[in-house]
Amino acid sequence: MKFVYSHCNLSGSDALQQRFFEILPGLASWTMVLGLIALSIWAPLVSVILVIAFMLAWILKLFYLTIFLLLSYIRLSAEKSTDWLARIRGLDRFHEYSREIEKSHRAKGWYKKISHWIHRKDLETLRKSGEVPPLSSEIFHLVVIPVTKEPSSVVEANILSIANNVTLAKQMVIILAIEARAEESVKAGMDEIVNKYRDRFMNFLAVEHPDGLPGEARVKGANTSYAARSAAEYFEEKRIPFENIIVSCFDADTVVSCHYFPCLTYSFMSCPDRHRASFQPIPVFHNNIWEVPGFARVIETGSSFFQLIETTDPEKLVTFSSHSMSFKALVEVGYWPADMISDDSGIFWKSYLYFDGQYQVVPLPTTLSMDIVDAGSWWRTVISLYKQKRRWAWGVENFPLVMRGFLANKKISLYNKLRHGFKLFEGHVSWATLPLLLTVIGWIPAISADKEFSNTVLYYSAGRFTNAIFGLSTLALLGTIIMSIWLLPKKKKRFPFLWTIVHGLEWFLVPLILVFLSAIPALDAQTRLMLNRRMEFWVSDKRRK
Amino acid sequence: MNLFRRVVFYFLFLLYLVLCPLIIFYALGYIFTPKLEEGFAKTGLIRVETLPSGASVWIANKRFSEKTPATIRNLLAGDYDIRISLAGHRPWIRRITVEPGKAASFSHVLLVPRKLDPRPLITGPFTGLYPVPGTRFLLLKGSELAGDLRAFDWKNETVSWVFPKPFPFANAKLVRIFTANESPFILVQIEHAGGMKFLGYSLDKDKSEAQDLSGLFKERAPDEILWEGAKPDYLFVRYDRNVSRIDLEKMKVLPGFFQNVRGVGIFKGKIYALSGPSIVRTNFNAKPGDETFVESGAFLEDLFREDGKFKIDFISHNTICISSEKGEFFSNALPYRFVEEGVRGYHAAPEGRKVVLWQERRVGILDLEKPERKKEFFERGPEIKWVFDRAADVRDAYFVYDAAYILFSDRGEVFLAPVKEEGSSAEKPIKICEGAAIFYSEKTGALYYLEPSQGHFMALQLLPEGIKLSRLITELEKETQEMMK
Repeated sequence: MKFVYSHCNLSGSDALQQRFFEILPGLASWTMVLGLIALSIWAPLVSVILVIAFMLAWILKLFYLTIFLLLSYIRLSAEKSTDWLARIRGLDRFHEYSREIEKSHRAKGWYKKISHWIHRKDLETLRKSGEVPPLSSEIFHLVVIPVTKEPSSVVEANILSIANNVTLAKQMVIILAIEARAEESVKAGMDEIVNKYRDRFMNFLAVEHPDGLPGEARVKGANTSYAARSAAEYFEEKRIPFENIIVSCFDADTVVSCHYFPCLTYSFMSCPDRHRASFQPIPVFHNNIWEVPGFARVIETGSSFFQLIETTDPEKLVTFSSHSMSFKALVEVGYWPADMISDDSGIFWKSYLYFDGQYQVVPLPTTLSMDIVDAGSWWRTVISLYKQKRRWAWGVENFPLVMRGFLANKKISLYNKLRHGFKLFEGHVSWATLPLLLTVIGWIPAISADKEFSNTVLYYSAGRFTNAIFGLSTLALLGTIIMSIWLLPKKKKRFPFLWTIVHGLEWFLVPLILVFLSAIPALDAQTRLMLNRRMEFWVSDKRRK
Repeated sequence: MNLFRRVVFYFLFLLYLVLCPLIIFYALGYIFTPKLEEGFAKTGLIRVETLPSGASVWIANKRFSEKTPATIRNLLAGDYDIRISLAGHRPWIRRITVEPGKAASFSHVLLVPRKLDPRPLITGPFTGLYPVPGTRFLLLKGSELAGDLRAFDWKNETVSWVFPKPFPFANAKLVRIFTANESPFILVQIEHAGGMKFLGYSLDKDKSEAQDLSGLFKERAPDEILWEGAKPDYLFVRYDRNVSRIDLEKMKVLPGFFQNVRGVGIFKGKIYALSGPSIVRTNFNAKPGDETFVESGAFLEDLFREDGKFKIDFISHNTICISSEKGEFFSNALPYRFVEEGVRGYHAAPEGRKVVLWQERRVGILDLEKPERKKEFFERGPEIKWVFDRAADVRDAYFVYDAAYILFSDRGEVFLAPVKEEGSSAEKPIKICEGAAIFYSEKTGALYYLEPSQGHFMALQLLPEGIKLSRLITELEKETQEMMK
């Protein structure tokens, strides 16, 4: 369905619908927060019952998430030693290879057995679809890296990590998408990188994106789309069909492992609907994890975990941050949204609506690493993190567009509309309200209890129940701490024993972080959208020591 | 994975659907009991917190495993005999009514030791005990002579002579001691060589000398003297209906500072007076006639219709207590007039919104906290709750243990009665010197008194020593709040 995935230049019922759905999430969040505060004061009995219901839901959700976090972690670990290149070569002679795999049952070790089992399932799905994967030698990679103010050291680390995918590097075209408004020193630094690494790839270009093109806002999507259009011209010139190109849009601070592109190529080849799919790796924030303040480490480990959990549900998975997709699909849908801040999730919804719901996100069982916000000082990092989280939460701008798209689209099933619409709405409202509810509002009835309420059985039971919930939450938190220890990269320097303990205890900052660096930025973003005060793209502060 | 995810999701969703109502109903007090025909019953609970903690709880002759502080849940509605016992302490026995969905809470149960062990502080004999309100000092009268007056610092447990020797008026007759709230400055009226003398003295200074202020007073004794602070600049002396101001720095008297007033009180650098049907106010250093009206109106005329003298007492920044010579008792909270006559005295709780007051035969409390609005035909303000009404001659009363108990003296005996239970029986911890005052400090948790046989000055620990720390914290918090204000 042709749907203009933009909030600009709307009129009539479209404009009305847009405003209604822009207001809805913020209104719901504020109603929940203020309503529960009011109830806590004037009708504590009702408030406590609601808080119990919320808390129970939350603790069950926490266990649900912990189960899938563990499963996702197992999957990630299982694929750690997978030889993706061998699998790619195997897919090049698909029929023969799939028979070989079918017959081979013996893999040593649990992780290898799991990996083998999943691989067999992939091949089986592909065989049943009747699709034959394209030859790996005919697949090309386009990597677009937007640059505005990022220092050369950050971008160079990114390029170097891509170049380390030696086997596939000569099938890669890298584009540094540089904003024309970037400082000259930044541009010069990028030119230097291009010249230094050009020989390592099929081609390495720097494309300057002019400011103020019609229909564009000062957002990352406008820059990457401009670069992708330039790439399209390049590929047309080279007569390389778009269906053989996988485009990856990486944040400037992305660092990929040498498994990333082989894994991506495998997933692309083994996916029957490869031109109706985005490929989502697990973004982790490990580049500078031991150099940032503890609260920043905790919140970004939490973000990594969230993505890890999300990958276990491909039916509801949405692209986030650095991601890859079929270039053919990107060109067909009209590139990334050029007037939205959250172009990463926006491209999924744009494609989902364009292909009438026949679009999915395929989780990649590999990570790519990015930087945690680091603005130099403790306080500046807090502010910078707050702005980054608000920008992420600004993803709520997708909600009105998706809802309008759902109302207009007759081909997407009602079930899918409800499923996706509810998840999008509930996700954003929970993001803004649940931490406040659990850490602040839930306690108000106990604090403000009048004599009448404090003489009820419920008053005493609520405290007991809250204690039990917190006990169980701590249990889940302990599981998370253990998993974070497994997942985090080795510390580059040795910390004294006391610091090791402090690093563990950082996790108990979670309640504070949840309120100040999660709920409030989300509420801020929703309120801005509700009041039609749109945000501009703001590049997070990142640095390398 | 999708199938597994769905299975887990629906399992947890179903679990939620089952658990959520069960937990909410349980939290509201509902339980399943085969004892009842209908199966389900709404229960109540009993919450008991004791001092000292760790006491056993017996309900209907059944011992519970929980020790205090304890919450005994799932009790069907009805009356229960509860017994709280701790080795070495007198048991706390009550009959408690449990209502469905309600909590019967006893958050301040004080377990009194079986064997009380009074501690002699100073060997007597002493004939009188005078607390200096709001300070750490108690004055002990050894005889009728001024030289026999001693000051006891209950915080540091030190004693000293009020007038260091040699004291020229040591043999003068002690007539009256004037004190002011939270001021360690005292004014002692003595009779010397047939005339009256007034000596000012600061108890908080190690080597302070008595200041002879006799020249600033008239020949006749004042009815009331008011001042503020540890080193007052001014004294306000009421002779019948007129108030004079004494400037202690310039040693000057300003007669007629207030004229024809029926009562005075001071608070935070201002002096208040009941002038006709109005309350007026002025600064300490103001000129006569500079007063401003604080409150006036027909209701004040009706309130102070009796032509007596009134004492205006600020017990906190927003609470005023007014008492009259004939024992009327008022407050600035509705309905203003609480007792028509016979109030002998009162003390306020530290936070200043609760007052314990006493008449000859009974002791009551007045809680001025905002009353809960009940659905009654007439809206009700706070009322005095008479906690004990079988006394004979109440002389003094104090709040104990965060105003959960009152301690009062009655005909040579001290009683300890819980505030919560109206008309309940009271413990009798100790006998005292009949007619002498008692003093109780919440900060030390001790009762100070004169023992009846020898007149020794004694202390009886009512609250365990361990509670002192929490009191100290409360005190610090209060001081911080005061500073913030």
